[in-house]
Parts: sequence; C-alpha cells; structure tokens
Amino acid sequence: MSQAMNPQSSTTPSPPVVRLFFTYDGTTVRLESQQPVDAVIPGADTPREELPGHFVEVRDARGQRLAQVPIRDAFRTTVEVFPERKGDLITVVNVPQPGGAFTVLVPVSPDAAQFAVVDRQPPRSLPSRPGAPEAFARGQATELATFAVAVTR
Amino acid sequence: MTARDGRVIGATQIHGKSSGKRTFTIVLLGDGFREDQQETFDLAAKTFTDVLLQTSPFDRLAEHISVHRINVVSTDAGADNPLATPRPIVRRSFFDSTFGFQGIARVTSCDTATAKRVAAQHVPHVDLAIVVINSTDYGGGGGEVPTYTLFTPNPNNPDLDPRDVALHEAGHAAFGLADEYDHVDRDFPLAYTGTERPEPNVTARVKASLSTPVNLETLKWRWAWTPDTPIPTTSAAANCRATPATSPVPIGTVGAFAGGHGHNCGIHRPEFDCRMRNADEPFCRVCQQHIANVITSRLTLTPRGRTPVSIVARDADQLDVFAVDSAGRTMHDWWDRQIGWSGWMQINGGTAGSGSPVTALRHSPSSVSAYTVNRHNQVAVASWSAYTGWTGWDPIPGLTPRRGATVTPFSRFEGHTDLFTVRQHGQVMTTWREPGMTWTAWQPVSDGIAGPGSPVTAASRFPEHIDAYTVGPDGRVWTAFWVGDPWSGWFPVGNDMRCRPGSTVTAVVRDTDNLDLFTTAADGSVMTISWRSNGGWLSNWTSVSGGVASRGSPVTALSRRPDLVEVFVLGTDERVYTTEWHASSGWRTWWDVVQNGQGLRGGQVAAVSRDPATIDLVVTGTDGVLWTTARRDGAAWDMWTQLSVT
Repeated sequence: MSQAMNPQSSTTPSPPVVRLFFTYDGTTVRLESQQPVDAVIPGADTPREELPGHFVEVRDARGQRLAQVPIRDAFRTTVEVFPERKGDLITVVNVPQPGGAFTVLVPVSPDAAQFAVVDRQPPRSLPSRPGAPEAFARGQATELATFAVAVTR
Repeated sequence: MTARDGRVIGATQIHGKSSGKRTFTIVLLGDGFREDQQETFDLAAKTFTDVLLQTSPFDRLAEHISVHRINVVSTDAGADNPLATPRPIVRRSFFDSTFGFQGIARVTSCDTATAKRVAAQHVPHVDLAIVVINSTDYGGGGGEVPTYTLFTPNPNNPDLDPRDVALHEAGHAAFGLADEYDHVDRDFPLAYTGTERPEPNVTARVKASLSTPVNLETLKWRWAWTPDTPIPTTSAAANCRATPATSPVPIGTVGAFAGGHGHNCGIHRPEFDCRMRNADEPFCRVCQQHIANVITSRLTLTPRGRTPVSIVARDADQLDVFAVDSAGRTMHDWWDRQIGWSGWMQINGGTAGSGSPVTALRHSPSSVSAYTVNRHNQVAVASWSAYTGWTGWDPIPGLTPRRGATVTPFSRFEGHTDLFTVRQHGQVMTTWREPGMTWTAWQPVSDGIAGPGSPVTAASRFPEHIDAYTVGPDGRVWTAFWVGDPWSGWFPVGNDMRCRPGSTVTAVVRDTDNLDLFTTAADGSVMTISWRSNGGWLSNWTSVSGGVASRGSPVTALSRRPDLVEVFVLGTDERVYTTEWHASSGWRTWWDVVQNGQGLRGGQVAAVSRDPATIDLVVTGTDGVLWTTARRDGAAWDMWTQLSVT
C-alpha cells in the first residue's frame, strides 16, 4: 500500500491536534496558549463514554460537543502524603485552594469553535421497564470556563 | 525562586530508538542542579529510566517508550524548605521546587506551569513530565507534574524509594489511574456513596455483601476474573472502619477487594495490592493492562494472518473496526469525524481462538456488540455502550463450536440479535436474544452442515424472515429460511456450481423483493446468483465480469440502494479490485480500487457504507498491517492510510 500524502483532504479526515495550556487558581481557569503540535491522541484520551470528572470539551459554534479530553490530576482538593517507610500508611491532606497548570491535546476539526472546561457528574440512571437494560442520560456538567478557538487550521 | 533563577541547557534523549508521536514520551526535568552538578542530574535521569524499565508493564513496552532529560541550570543547589529549622531554607531554583507543600515536610512540589511549558517547548510529544529535585532528603509529590528527590534508600532499612512514589504519581498523571488505598484521613468519609468511578481500577458497582447478587456483566475487570474467585472477594467491617489486613486468596488473584479511592466501603479494587495502593508494590494486572493499552494504542496493528476484519458504522460520523492481532487478542479501533482514528485497544483482555475473527453488530449510535470464539473454544460476547463502556467477554453457554469458527451476528429489527455459528462437526447452530433477556438455548438450523472453514451467513428481507447460507461439505451453496418456527430444510442454491473449499457466501438484500449472493467457484471465479420475489432463484450461478479471486479471498458486497451493488475482492495479483452492478447497465468490468493497493495473499476486503454516499474499506497490506481507504460518490478513492491512531 502507498501512504496518503495529505490525510486532511481524505473522506476519513484526521483533525489537527492542538496542545492547550491552562493555568488555574481554584475554579478560575485561564487558557494560556493554543499550540498546533504533531502528536497523536490515543483513544484513552478521547473517551466516547459519558464519564464523570473534569474534561476539556471541543464544541462547535452552537455549543454542541465535538470531542472531550480528560483533565488528569488537576483541580485536586487533596494531596497525598507518602510514608518514609515501606508498609506505613499513605495519608492525604486537604488543599484549600487548588492551583497549578495542566495541558491537554485536543482534536480541532473545522467545526470547532470553542473549548470548554467542565466538571461533569456521572450519567443519570433513567426509569426502565422491568427486565430491560439500565438506561442512562448524560450527567450534568458545570462549566468552569469557555474560550474561543484561536489557532490556524 | 522563579524561572529567572537559571536557564535551560537543552533536551537529550536517553532511551528509545525513535522520538516520534508513536512512542510514549517521558520528560525528566532537573531542578536545583547548578552548572557543575549536571552530571548528577544525568545520572539520576538514567537511574530513574532503569527503574522504570524494570517495572511492569513498562519493561515489556520499552521499545514503545522514549525518555528525555532536560538539563536546566539553577542558580542554587537544592530546593526551598519553609519548614526547616532554625530558619526556612530558600534556594533559587528554576522550577521553584519546595519541600513542605501544604505544611507537610516531605511533600514536594514545583512550579507546574513552568515545568509544563519547558517540557512542551523542548519535547513537543511529551506525555508525562517529572521534575527531579536535587536534594538527598526524602521527598516526593503528585499533581500535574510529579516530583521526587534524590534520597537514596538504605538497603538495611525499609525506606520507601522516592522513585516509587514518582511511578505511583505517574499512574495518576499519565494514565488516569485511581488510588487504591483505604480510608486515610478523619476529614474524609469512611464510605464512598457516589456513582461509578471513571477510573479503570476501582468500581462502585460491586455490592458489599456476598449474599447480594452481583451483575458480573458490569464488572470492569471481568476479563481478568476467574469464576472460582468470590465477588466481592473481601468486604469491609460492618461499621466500615476497617478492611481485611490479609488476602483470603493468593496474592495476584483478581477479584473485588473492599477499599480504594480513599474509602473503606462502597468501593472495590481489582487485587489485594497494587502500586496504586502501596507505592513499592507492582502495578496490579488491571492497571498494567490499562497502561499497556494507553501506550500501544499509538501503534499500527499486525493482524493475525488472514483472519477477517469486521467494520461497522454506528452512524455517518463513527466507524468501529474489530480485528484479531498476531497474539490472538481481540482488538478495536474507532473513527470519529471530529477526532479521527483513536488507536487499537484490546477489548477487556479478550482473546480469539485460532482462526476465529471478531465480528460485530451495531445496535444504535451509542451501542455495539462484538463476538468471537475464544481460546477456550466458547462463543463469547462483549458489548459497548456510551454510558457504561465495554462489558467483559461473557461466554454464551451450551455450544462447543468448531475450531476457528466465525460467529455471525445479525439483526432483523432494532434490539433483536440472532447469532449463527458452526458446531464441532459442522452442524449449523443459532441462538437469539432481545434486550433484558438471556440468550436462548442453541438450536440446530434444521440438519444443515457447513463445509470445513465455511462460515454461516444470514440475510433478512423483513423482520419475520431469515435466510441462512453456507457452503456444504459437497462444495455447493446451501440455504434454509425461517418465517416463524420451524426452520425450513436446507436446499442447494442454483445449478451444480462447486465452491472453493472454505468459501464464504455473501448475501446482499437490495430491497424486500431482491437478494443477491456472491461466492468463489472452485477455480476462483467470482460468482453470483439472484433471487426475485416474482421468480425465486435464477437457475444458474454466473461469473461477475470474469473476475478471479486470490486463493482464500472472500467476496465482499454492498448495496447502498436497490439499483446498485458493489463488489470487492483481492485479485490473483493481490490487488484490491471492485466492480458495480447497475440496474440499468448490468455489471461493469473490474478495476483497481487505488493504485499500489496490494493486499496480503488470500486476505479479505472489509467494507462498510457509513452513509448512502460513502464506502470505507479495510485491507491487510503486504506489509502485514491494516490499511484503509474511503470514497464519496463523485470523488476518487482516497490514498491508502495505515489504520492506527490519528
């Protein structure tokens, strides 16, 4: 087989990847940079499932979600305290005001218009008839911040 | 104590043959190392890399990992320590590393924003950044950028190695793993009362009592569990104040152990111990599998020989591809218009028996099921839903299939699934299920016998109708139909045409009145025959424009509208060929799909139509990896691209 020279023009397009660099102080989030990068986004970083937690959502101009990428290890309200000796217990302490920085890689398709940082609740269980499989609805999401896409595609 | 307190020298790759986007990239940043101490950092980075690559699963993934160190000169050596006595220690270091985070002496932290920025500037593919602090005092910390010190454990003492802490924190930062330890602080509740956790290594779905039935289909790590291990394997004390201190099963057994995510009850973990519970223990099997999936999903897939690939469209913007890799693992990749290809991941530890493919059936845009004959020679199913993810692989009991058999899933109407496969001695068998039901008992489809290597295929022209097809031991195409019990007897289709041994019969329903079959004759000719509601089977099989298939290559056919049939096959030169039938003009001559498109000899061309104007193909190339192309009406075929991650 011969490899495609320009996958962007294909019937099965592969959107460009952009690294978003955020800083945060409590729930105040700032988008510091949007940098196109030659990288891949594995499936574990673009889950199709309705998972709870903090995510960066890529949205179109109408606010419809196009993709979601989990934010790992940010907004933690506790910090782990490791023992000095093997076998001793790990403990945690509260962090009154979480702060720091995080980066995510997101796919930015031509439809992408905004990035949203959200804190999503688990899917809600819906009533279903006896014997039928459990039904769900998307969990409620708290929007921490939204930013316009400003990257050359 | 800012980034002005030093300068970046540059990045050096210290492990890995390549440093591209296909490898998992770790960046080690030195902090608190003066200009004359850079060799100390170089040695620390090498030592960490050695520890990493001796740790499972990184040891067996070493060729897919690259490690870089970024040498940074700090003005001062060491790190701040605001808790030091008799007075706080202040050091001018580039990443502003410090002990005493949140008032705890041994918890270290750094300026994560600067660390992230420097790592990405110098190593654009960075997946995980870790700051190495130049201090021999014990310290480590987590968060977006894990930190650890150069403290050296005394082999005569049970000291915890800070590098072990860094690997635990990497489990969070790079792989999204949960903590697996119990209740740890009085300020936190003993019991977890939330809904299911997103992390792969803890679950809230297991009930606390052995007397409460457990829905094993929803156990996240069902694939790693063996039925002789009780679920739950351990339970917390009735008052939730403690979890068992010892394991009732051998260490390494996968079950459901009480405690995790900082709680004693209401949550379970897969093994008694794990690095995510005690930092100096190995990662448990479930965590190792998840880490391996994240790292290897960047790679291309080498499918097993000529085992067919399945491709389904969940809607116009989403494709799912299923394959068996060279190690016999059941693998899955998917494409989304907004994301691209997501990379190959093993479906919950599943394996396919020799020769058996993974087949798939779309139920809705948010649900799909996969089927195979596993290594224990059982028919097995795994299902995916957007709300619950993949279930484990569950055997469908009551049948010993023929080695290498194909499980053909089929839906006559929404929510209903029929399965067909072949029993040990070739008997054609079926079962069915609807939502909320268990599978019905396997029953024979009359007295049908499939020839060696030939699967059973099916078609339906309306909800209360099924046709089953196979190539019999005599090499003829046989069929039986169902329009309500019982099944008809089997009868041969058409004239005395004999098929190539192991051939597949491909059925295409153009509409309720028209159905076409395709297969390969003994000489490899691509053959077809049609059925019409107003005339039944046409008496003779006829050649499709003189086409001849590569030995072993099945014929793939699609009908996107009643007046159009499209056929794909590998030709005798192993190129991917196609032709079309139009109601107005009949069959066209064959042509090459895309120049230079050559497949593995005897391989299959998997095809799907994700919308009425688009066809996608997947083929195993002569290089042994999977390739894909697609075409929209009115446009040429795309060039072939390797099917992996975008």
